[in-house]
Amino acid sequence: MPRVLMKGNEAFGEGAIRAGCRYFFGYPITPQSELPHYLARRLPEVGGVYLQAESEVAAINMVYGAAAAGARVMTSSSSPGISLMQEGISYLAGAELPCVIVNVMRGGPGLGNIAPAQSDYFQAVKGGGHGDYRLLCLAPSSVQEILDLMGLAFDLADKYRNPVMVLGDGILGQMMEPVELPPYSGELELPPKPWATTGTAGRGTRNIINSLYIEPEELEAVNLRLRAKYQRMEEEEKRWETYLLEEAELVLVAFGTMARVARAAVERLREEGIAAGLIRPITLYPFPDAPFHAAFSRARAFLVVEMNLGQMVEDVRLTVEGRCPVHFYGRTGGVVPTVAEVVNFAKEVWQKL
Amino acid sequence: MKKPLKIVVAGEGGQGVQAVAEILAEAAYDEGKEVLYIPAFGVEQRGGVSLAYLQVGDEPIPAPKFEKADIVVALSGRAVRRTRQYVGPETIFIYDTHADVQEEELPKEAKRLIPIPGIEVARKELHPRVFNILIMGALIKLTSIVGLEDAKRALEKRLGHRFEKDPSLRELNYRALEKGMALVS
Repeated sequence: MPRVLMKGNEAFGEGAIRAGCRYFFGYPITPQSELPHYLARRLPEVGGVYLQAESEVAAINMVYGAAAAGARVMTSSSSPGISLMQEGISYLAGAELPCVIVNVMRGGPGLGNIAPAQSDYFQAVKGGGHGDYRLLCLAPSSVQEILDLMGLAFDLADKYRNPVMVLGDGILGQMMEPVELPPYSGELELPPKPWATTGTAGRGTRNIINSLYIEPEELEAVNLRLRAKYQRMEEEEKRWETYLLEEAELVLVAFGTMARVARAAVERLREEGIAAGLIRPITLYPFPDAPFHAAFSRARAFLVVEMNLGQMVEDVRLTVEGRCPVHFYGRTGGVVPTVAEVVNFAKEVWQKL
Repeated sequence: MKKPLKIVVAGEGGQGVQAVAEILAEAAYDEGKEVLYIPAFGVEQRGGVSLAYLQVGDEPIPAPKFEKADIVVALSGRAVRRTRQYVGPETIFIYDTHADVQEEELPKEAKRLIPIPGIEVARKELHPRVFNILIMGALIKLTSIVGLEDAKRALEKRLGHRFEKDPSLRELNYRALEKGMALVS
């Protein structure tokens, strides 16, 4: 299998192309601009459309239009730009339109800075826009996984007719790593979308894409149907990776870039005789509870590490339900915790057990 | 190479720091090594010090950032001051003798301090534009992450289209590599 050296932001783009995405609408923002830059070159090569919108608000509504017409479509941005898109994301969820949204997170709140962060976890996982909706949320932690998860993201979006958020961060977007590129023929057999607004020819009835329901009972029925869909996601789509979890008494929990730091920390803790292990959620929604349940019999404490001041830790607490102490270590504002910092904090937790 | 070799290359914008790291990453990768390269992004991109973080090893690289480097290359006074945090007692610190830096600003805690007259040699004996390739030569000599021939192949891959138009450029780049190696041997 051919291996190439690739930048994370480029891998988001190449992964999308290989998943059959042919439409990109977006607006540049650091630290993800290499992604639109890459697709501006690649999409015309495969007969696709790259369009730089006048704003993020316009971009997400263009995504709405293309998704309604049945296209595989995506947008990407970084934290402040994703905030601007929230109204459109809620509409996409309400109208049950599949699309992929990449957020290469940077420091916030406000204009913040362009350094890597994970402080949009709540926004991605708990809503962000208005209404009772959920986004499927994927969190890759290497350039290879970016490439692989983009394919999954488009498939899940179509399967559930729901927007999928892929969460990266400034480091993941900027770093170069080797990736394996499977052979790519160019043509994919994509699932049919009989609901799409493609004209009535051969169908007779009109397809309508809508998120407006004046009657409360009617809107409640829509919400209940959406909830059934989210429950199906929770049953079928949880994904995670563990490292040395069997026998682990101190279980670190981290996603994305932070999981790499945590994994290195687990190795160092093991060298010092501390039985550490790692749970790395790959889907942030639905949140993977199974590895936690598997860890309960031996775990004496969980330690969640994030590049924020404590967001995923709330889902860990909801999962652990008080059966075991849950500790947290995080840095924010674009600061990335070092392996030594995580090891030192973990040792403090360990000594107090 | 059990633990990955950690390298920081720093210089002024325009000194070709990112190109050095990227070509080295490509070369090491082509030799079957695991690599991870992060260009520093941030205000540095707007006329400040440019930093490249490169890790090369036999196993997949775990943490993308690191605290102390095995090798730091600093090509300007500002780069010397900016990279100090990455220097520990195990670090080899290479700096250019033309860097605007006071004696007391050099990281004395380093395992070895290696001054090299890269800027001067490039200007007088080669051409200023191959200064970064000379630095790359010094780096491969010190680290052995790739051999001279691997480095040449990586250069060919990246600059082959220019070498075709002007074969003397190939010659110039190869001489810069060898000169860089000689400066640290």
